[in-house]
Amino acid sequence: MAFKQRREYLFLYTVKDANPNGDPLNENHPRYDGDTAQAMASDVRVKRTTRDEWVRSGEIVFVDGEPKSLKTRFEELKKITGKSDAREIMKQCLDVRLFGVTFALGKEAFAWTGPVQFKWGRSLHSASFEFVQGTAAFATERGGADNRQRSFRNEYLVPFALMGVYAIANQYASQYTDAADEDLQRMLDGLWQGTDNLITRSKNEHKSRLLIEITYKEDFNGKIGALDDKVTLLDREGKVMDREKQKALRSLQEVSLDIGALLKSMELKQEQIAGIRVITDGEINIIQEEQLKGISSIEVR
Amino acid sequence: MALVFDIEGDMALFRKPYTTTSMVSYPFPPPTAIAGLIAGIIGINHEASQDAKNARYWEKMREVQVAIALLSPIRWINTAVNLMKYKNSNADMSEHIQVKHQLVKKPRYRIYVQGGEIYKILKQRLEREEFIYTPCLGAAYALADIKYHGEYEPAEAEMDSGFNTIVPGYEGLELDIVRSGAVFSEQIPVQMTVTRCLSHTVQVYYAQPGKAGSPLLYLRNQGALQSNMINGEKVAWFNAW
Repeated sequence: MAFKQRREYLFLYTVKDANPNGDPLNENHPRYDGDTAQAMASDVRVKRTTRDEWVRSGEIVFVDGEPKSLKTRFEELKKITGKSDAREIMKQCLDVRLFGVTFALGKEAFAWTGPVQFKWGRSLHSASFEFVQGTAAFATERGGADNRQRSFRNEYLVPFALMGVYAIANQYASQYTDAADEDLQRMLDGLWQGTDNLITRSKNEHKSRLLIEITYKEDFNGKIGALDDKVTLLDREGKVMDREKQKALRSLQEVSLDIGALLKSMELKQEQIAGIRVITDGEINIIQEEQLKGISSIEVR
Repeated sequence: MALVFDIEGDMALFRKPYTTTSMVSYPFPPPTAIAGLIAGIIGINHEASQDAKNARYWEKMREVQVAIALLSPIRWINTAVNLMKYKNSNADMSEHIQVKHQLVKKPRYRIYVQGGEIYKILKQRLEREEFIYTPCLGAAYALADIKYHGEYEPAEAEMDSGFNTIVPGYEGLELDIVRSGAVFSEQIPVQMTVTRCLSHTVQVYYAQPGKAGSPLLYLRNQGALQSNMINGEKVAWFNAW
């Protein structure tokens, strides 16, 4: 059963001494905006995080992240689902139902726009980027003096970034992919837990901090839009930080989140909003927390 | 009557279709992208769920005219995105490909629309700040915000004044480069068939907005180009689809 209510999401997570999303064109330097020094994460990075969590929890996921051919994956899915029709099989995959698919194998070619679209994530402040070097674990097999010489490992990291991600779920696109209300619930859980579970060398430590889900009434066809632009990061005293101060941030304890503009937008749309869900990690300091509690219960995870 | 609305976002990717492995963007949405945007707002499905080639909304675009203005300076993001290489003939996805992307940074455009059977419903959707399918600036992750300005009566344009919009170079058009200062040009797609084949393109000219605002484009002769004043702005229409 396709979901019928439009939703908007704001998801914040922190990255500490890690690489939010490397740019392969730039020696895996964290993606960033050269004008503002904001760290960035592509939509595919965020979706990968979510998919990885689904794979761990046993959901059927089309793009499972393993290096294999489309044909192989399709054959695997035929066995898993016990079906043979490409469209039927695609509808069994949670990621396809939510994020869509462009399928082209043999004579079958179709494209489903995903009901859920993510914007690229951006840090809510200017970040620093550090270049670190380490010693490689092994020497090369070249003989002579070379095999006692280990080379260097280069990498970039961001000491601290509070990343903001915006997404929208469109009820009309869900009619084509059969994404259900429960699927959106799975997405929310996958996003939250998947971020906490990003335990690889370059991604440790990622931590989910705040998730706001706005669910609209069935006949509502608009949006607030760009929720990530409606929150501002201030220092603990509630003051605006200059760029140098933003770059020197190293923990969540140094900042507070101003959600005033977001609350105002939600108030303007209150007639159309069916429900608001808020999840926090209990550590993020929201200036308008009391006001937020007035419109939604806050679930601490 | 003509409808005027702005579209903006964090980034945009209006892909030049003739590039193969790199995603190179036009600096603004070509009319073909505007057609898709209009279809998305009013909710005409492309039917690509049946066949990936489909763009059925073109059936409803007859007699529609659009004009496009740049409102923000054109700045670029150059990056690469790690994608699956799914286009191998043997469908081998094991290989990944780092596709170079050129994205427009923080773009803002003004769109003018007149004519056609979609006009009434588009007006209704814009007035109610509604959209059926999620609007984007070329790529799905480049989500768009739409700001509706209103409906205006197009007035006769003075010959001598400068254009606020991109100007399609129809027959007989002559630029006044000296008066315009600097003029940029692109060959852009204007129309597609219902199975996403390119039916024609046009050479366009435009002035680039800077920090000081939007410069105007001046012509010595506008030839076959149709123009109007809309809400105080001189607009160059693309020919009706």
